Amino acid sequence: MTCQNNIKFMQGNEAVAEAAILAGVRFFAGYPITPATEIAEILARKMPLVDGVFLQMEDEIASMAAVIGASMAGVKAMTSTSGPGFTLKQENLGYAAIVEIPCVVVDVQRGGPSTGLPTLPAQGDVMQARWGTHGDHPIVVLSPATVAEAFDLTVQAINLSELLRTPVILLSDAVVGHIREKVEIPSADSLKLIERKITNKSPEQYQPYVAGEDGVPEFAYRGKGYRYHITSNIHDEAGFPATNNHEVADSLLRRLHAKIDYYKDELTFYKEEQCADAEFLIIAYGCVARSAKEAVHDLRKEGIKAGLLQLQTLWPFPAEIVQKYCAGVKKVIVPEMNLGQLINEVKLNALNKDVIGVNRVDGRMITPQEIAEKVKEVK
Amino acid sequence: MAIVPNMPRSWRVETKPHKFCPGCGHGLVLKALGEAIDELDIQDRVVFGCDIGCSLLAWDFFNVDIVQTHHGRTTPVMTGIKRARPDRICIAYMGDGGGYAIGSQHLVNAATRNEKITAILVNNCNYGMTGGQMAPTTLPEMKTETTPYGRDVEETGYPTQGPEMVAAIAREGAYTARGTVANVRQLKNYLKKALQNQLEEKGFSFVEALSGCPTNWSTNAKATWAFLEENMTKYFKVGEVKVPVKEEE
Repeated sequence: MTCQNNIKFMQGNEAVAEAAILAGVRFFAGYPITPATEIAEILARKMPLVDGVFLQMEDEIASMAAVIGASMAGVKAMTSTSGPGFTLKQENLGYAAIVEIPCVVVDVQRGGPSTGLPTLPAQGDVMQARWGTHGDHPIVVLSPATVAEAFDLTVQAINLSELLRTPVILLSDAVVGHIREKVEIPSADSLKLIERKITNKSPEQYQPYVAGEDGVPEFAYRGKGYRYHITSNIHDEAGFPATNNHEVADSLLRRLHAKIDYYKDELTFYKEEQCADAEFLIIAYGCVARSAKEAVHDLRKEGIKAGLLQLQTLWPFPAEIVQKYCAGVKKVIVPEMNLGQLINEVKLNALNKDVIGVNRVDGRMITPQEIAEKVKEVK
Repeated sequence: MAIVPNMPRSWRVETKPHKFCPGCGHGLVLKALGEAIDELDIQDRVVFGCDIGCSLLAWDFFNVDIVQTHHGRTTPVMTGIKRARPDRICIAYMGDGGGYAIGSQHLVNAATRNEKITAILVNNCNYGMTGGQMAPTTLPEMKTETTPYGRDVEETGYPTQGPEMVAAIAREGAYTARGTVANVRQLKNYLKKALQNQLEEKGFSFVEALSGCPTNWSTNAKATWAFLEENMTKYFKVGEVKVPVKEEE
């Protein structure tokens, strides 16, 4: 039987902070922004109690830079923000991607563009999370729909960033961040944690960007005598700039993508609800998946065979999963709190089925009724 | 007969009462600013820029041209307007986070270039809009939501002394001062001199206004005033810090 002490009633943002501490994050740098501020406030209290560092920086650019620095020193590091701050973090997100430094950025989405709707939910950052920085970088983006998922996916985000040596984004939203729900907190020793692969080579033998079969280089702590160079320029396996070497540039960029592809199965998370005999497939993520689940139940009561595919991994887009679930259905419905972002990826993988959006950008949740009505309308 | 309070001409009357919390100092700073604008008769030339945070609640306060920018970016946006249309009177209105943290580089560089704009910064020792986190101006040992054990100066440094910093980098012609909502007449005088400095194209002008935040300080009226007049003014000295040298007669 489960220990009652581990059952908690908490906010999504609180679950993110709890998960970060349990998963070994010992450095947090951030800047206050609604609706993500609770994560910083909770970690301001908790970090000193676990000998971790909480740092409030002068802005989001500096917060992201400090997080990368801490992770370079070998400490698991995280930051949290919302849309406008997420935009400021993009520059250093690209930096983390090319220097292959693990870190986690939590984006609790609110309505945009610009400062938009500061306290209201949206899902407008789906594409910013994927394509916000310049250059061809890969990224992993996970999106929770409940407080329990916020906890689990925070742990996964931290694990994946360590496994892949890449920045991972937890794309939450104002609903998931602020709603209070039951969550079961696992004990620290039952939690499966992944740590970055530390080299056992000597400083003389160590080449910082030589990768194994999985495409991920071994890590050597800074300040341990390895004296290697880290540069944001295209670099060779020794870590030095090779900005006129076309072969090095090509192989580095392709390897950054290949390592994400190598671990595709480990990083693809999704849930399904009554999909086995579904004729109408709803594909949803984040807070909207909550309404979609309810819509499926309501439609089934009326004898309409609806099913839900809830994507928890948004990027890399789980194309094969979507294709598999689209195969047997008549139509696909994609509700999103934006004017159509992930729907375009779904369209590419829906095997020529009709794909219909349900969109809302006024800061109000898409209701189960709206989704169910759309299914009945296109039936 | 209803009693109509005496409001500055440059205020937008239909937006009153204003949106700030009861006891907030912003209203007093904006009253002093409104009177200064009236006395200089520059209402039609003013472009009022406000930042993110509580200062943005001033977006409909005045009956003048108003711009609200991204966090910290009010100073460079006002710089752009002033450089493009030097006949405008550009005011960048911000909080301590906007001016001393996320936008500190803009304050420093506007002062270095001696931009002919007026920056007004309201110092209330915390980030108000987001619920009371540490600001660059949070006093040593002061508890906020992100300094739950009190601000430790070894970890987070000492509170920023803005007017002194600006005075150290600004060139001749710049005007910097620190006023307080506890002395609105003096504050209005400083704001008027700062705007006058812009009108005379002498240089950058910067006024910090000490202000109260009873909502996030969790203080009643008496304790708010005590914190402002005792704790804050001990660290943040009220007065003019740098004034342009008078030209020889």
